[in-house]
Amino acid sequence: MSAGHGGAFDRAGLSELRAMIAESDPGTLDTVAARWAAVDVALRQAQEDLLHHTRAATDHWSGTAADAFTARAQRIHASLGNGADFASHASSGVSYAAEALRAARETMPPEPASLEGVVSVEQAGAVGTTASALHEEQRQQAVAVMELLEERYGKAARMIGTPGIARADLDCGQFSETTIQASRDLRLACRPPANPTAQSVRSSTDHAGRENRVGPKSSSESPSLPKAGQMPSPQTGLDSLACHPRSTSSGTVPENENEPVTQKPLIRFASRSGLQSDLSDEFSIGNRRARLLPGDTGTLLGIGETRHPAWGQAPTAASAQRQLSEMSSSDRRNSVAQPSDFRRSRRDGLQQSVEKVDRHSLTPEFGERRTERPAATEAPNPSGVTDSGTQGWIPGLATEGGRMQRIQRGRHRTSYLKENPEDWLSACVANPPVVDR
Amino acid sequence: MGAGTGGYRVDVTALESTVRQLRAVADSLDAPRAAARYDTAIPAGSLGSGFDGASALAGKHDEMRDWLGSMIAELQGFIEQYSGEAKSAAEAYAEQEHRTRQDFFSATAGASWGGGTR
Repeated sequence: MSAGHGGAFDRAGLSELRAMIAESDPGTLDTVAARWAAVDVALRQAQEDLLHHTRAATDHWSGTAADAFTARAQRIHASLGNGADFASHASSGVSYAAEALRAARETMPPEPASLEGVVSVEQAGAVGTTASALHEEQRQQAVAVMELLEERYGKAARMIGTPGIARADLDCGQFSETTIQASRDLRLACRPPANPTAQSVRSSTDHAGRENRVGPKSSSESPSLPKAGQMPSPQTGLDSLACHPRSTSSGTVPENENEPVTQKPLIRFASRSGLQSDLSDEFSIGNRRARLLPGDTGTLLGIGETRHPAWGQAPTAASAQRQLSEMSSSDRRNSVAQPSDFRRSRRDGLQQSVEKVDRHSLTPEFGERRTERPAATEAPNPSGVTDSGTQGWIPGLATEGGRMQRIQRGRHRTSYLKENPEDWLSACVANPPVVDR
Repeated sequence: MGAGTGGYRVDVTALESTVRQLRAVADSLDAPRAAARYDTAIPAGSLGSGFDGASALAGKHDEMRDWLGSMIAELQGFIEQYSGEAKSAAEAYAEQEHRTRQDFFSATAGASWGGGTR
């Protein structure tokens, strides 16, 4: 690179040569190099974090969707690594340039104090004095310094530019078309002897994808080609990830059909785009399996039960039925024991009604009385009003409404039917079936 | 949460936390992106002036800087997209789990009134 411009330095005078790097600042370059190094570190950190978090996720996640997740994570991981490499190359290139510049500034010969003004080559040659000979010597030295600096700048540019050559390898389908185009142009423009090891390593990572894009017109001729090589292919895998589990794979089938068989890079992703159907199967299979698994049954049932308002809500018919049967059995016990106990136990409204129902069904004497009673009242008072009033007295029909009616009307009742709310048992005692279990 | 011997196995909670952490990774790229774009500019004349080597190197560096900045931004977008897809995967799994549970409960609740068997 410097060969073409060597003549320019030869024609320049010493003060011109000195002026070329007079304003330069190696410290600024050092700062820039340090910032590139920081970018490098940050990208490596991001790469490490990505790997760590992805591993943490896939520790608890398996299946085809998880595989697609991992595949994409690996690509991003590799891209981050490549980006960090580029930042590192930029850093080393800039710092190399800074060192070269610093060396050039140190070795640049001083301006001879005896001579003032710009002395051209012709003048120096024509004069031929000792002073001009000294000046010419210093000028030659300055030319050498500048040539060396330019050569080193070229090296630094290659250090920075080497990643640029590898861009086509880096973009393994992960960068936009403009970036690919730019890198392609760059690669065509300057084709220096790149670092062969780095090139081979990178090209081995994605050989097919790179070959795919070598032709400059390939992108315009077959628009599906760069698309396939680019992110969309992992995207289809992850789109299927994101898809509704029960959605059919009808959306992806045309994609599979559209895929040209001749495009090599697509083959690799064809299986991945078929993943969507796999995934939907997987979900449905998982669904079915989950239904069949006894372990799942247990957990799910348990969760459902804890949520179900078995305690907090009004008892349903079934629970009321259970309570009824429990109460009636205790009622039976009480009735077998002593009449006083029987009276005391019937203080609760519900229990009372239950007892009455129970007794009505168990002991025929109430029924007899009941049947007798209307017959007795019918004769003096045939009107329905009185009849309804007498119904409240009948224990067999002691419903809640009937009890309230009796309380309100204050009719005469037998002693065992008199109710004192103070004697009512508290609810927790009055509902032993719920608590005792 | 979900358990399946062959098809898939996923801890939706872990996946969701991974989504958050991936977002954090994407956010952590803000600094290097800004650094690559704005902080690494070589001021004119710092490399020297008046000779082609300096301008060539400066041009190369600026090109690299632009490209690397856009690459980091793009990677950031990819990671965000990636985490978004992981998020929707987690949501899909969670919804699946929820629906299965609902199906279960409605099936078992109608069949038996088990009461507090726990």
